Amino acid sequence: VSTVETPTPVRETSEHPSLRRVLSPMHIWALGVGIVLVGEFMGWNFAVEKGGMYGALIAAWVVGLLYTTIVMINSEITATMPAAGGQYAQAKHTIGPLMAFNVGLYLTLAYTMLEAANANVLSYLLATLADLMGSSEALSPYPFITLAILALAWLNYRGVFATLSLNFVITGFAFVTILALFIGVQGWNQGDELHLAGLAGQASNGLPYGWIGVIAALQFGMWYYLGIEGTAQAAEECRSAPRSIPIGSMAGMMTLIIAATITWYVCASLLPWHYLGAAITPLFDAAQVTGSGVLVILLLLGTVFATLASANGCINDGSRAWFAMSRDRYLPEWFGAVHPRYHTPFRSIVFLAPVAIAFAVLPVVLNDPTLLSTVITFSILSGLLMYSFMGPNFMRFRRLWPMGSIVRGYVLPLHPLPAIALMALSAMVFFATYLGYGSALLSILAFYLLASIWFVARRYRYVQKGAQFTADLPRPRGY
Amino acid sequence: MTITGALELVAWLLSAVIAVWLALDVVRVSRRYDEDALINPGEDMSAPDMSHASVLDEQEGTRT
Repeated sequence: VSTVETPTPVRETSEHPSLRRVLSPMHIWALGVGIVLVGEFMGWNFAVEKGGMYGALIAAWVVGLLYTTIVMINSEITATMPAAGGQYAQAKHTIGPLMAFNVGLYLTLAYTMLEAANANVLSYLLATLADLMGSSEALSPYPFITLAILALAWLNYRGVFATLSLNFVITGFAFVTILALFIGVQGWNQGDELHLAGLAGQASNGLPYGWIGVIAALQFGMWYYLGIEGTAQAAEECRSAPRSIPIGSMAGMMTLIIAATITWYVCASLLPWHYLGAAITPLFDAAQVTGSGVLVILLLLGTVFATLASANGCINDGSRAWFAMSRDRYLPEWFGAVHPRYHTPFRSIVFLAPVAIAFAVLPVVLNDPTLLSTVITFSILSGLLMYSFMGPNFMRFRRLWPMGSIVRGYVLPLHPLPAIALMALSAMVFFATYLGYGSALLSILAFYLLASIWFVARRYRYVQKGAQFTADLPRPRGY
Repeated sequence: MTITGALELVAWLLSAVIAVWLALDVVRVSRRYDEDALINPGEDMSAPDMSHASVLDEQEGTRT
């Protein structure tokens, strides 16, 4: 990673409280990996059901390439435009208000829905824990869903430094539990506890549906990395965004590729593919197969911590996107306030908490577990829509501000190859998603179309048009 | 009361305390401070120092 240590310029005003610049690369790593790592503990394994053992591995690496391009592209633009809202702010400066509104909405809904799903899963994990401890009475999910979201919202409300420092600790712990499982089963020693050749070595379990199965597995390959692009949301709160964003994001991506590969390897060597493809907590189940009490406890704690870290990061990112849109008047300006003492977007944090609680308890209230997968699908598809914007956006960014015209904290190598790769891979994952969730994809596209019509008809008149040009970059080429 | 019931009650009570604290603080801040002062004016960026631009481009050439 080549970066230039350039302190983000600060304009302190005594009248308006601003977000506090306190974050370092460590916090950016904790934010990015924290949101994502839960995907190694659950979710990725549905790729096995679609494409078999090797289909899931190919999905992990191909989608890993997609996210690597996302992180690199993000690093260059965010280091140049270090603003809360991340991709929303990029869309505002490079394309215009309607695109910015849509991207801001993708971001807010993707993170809020993911937060809701995390809280729901957390209540399930606590119920499992109570069951393991011999409780004869089922634990009600309502109080724990509510407490998890409110406690994390409170933490976010009180300050970003403590929030992401905590995320660093719990995310680090969760990552270490994956390493502990690898060491505990002697991952280098096939044939003792691990049986990869028997469980994945034939076409019937390695690639049961051929290459179309591999394509279908791509949508679940996203679980390994979904949310790493959220590091951009913290740019405005970094001590030096041009240094912290590239280092933190790329270190995060490396961590995730390692975690994804180990997760696949250990699970594929311990669990039959029919079971793995439908498991809810595959890493925890793998630990149970080993028969080691220590590994079982570690992986249960790892799963709980990863879920908490993800929800915590989602509150941080969702609120920044909502806040950034509000201060530019894309939404009511009231949400664009910063707390004078804690320097956080406090109203956005508080507003989104009940929204997340509502989506988290909905599957329980209606007694319909499939609603949880609908909530998660909404989150994933919103993310996917954003990725399809990022490739063309980067092309335009380089055209508006060519090399030499502005200071870049990080320069994306081999341009335009990464952007082209991102567009091609996004198209592949879109196709894969259409195969699995065609009607959901079309419904979500219809939702964003209706939201766009509402924005143009009712909200556009309030938008602070000058905000499109507040990046204080030189006049773009052609303007 | 069973342990499960006690745990649920504690979770509800803690949730209520946090929710009330958050709501009271939002109201307190809104009353104490002028609304215009609370609203963040926008991205907090000033013009970047262009003196390094050419150096950066040279570095970019060597990187790629």
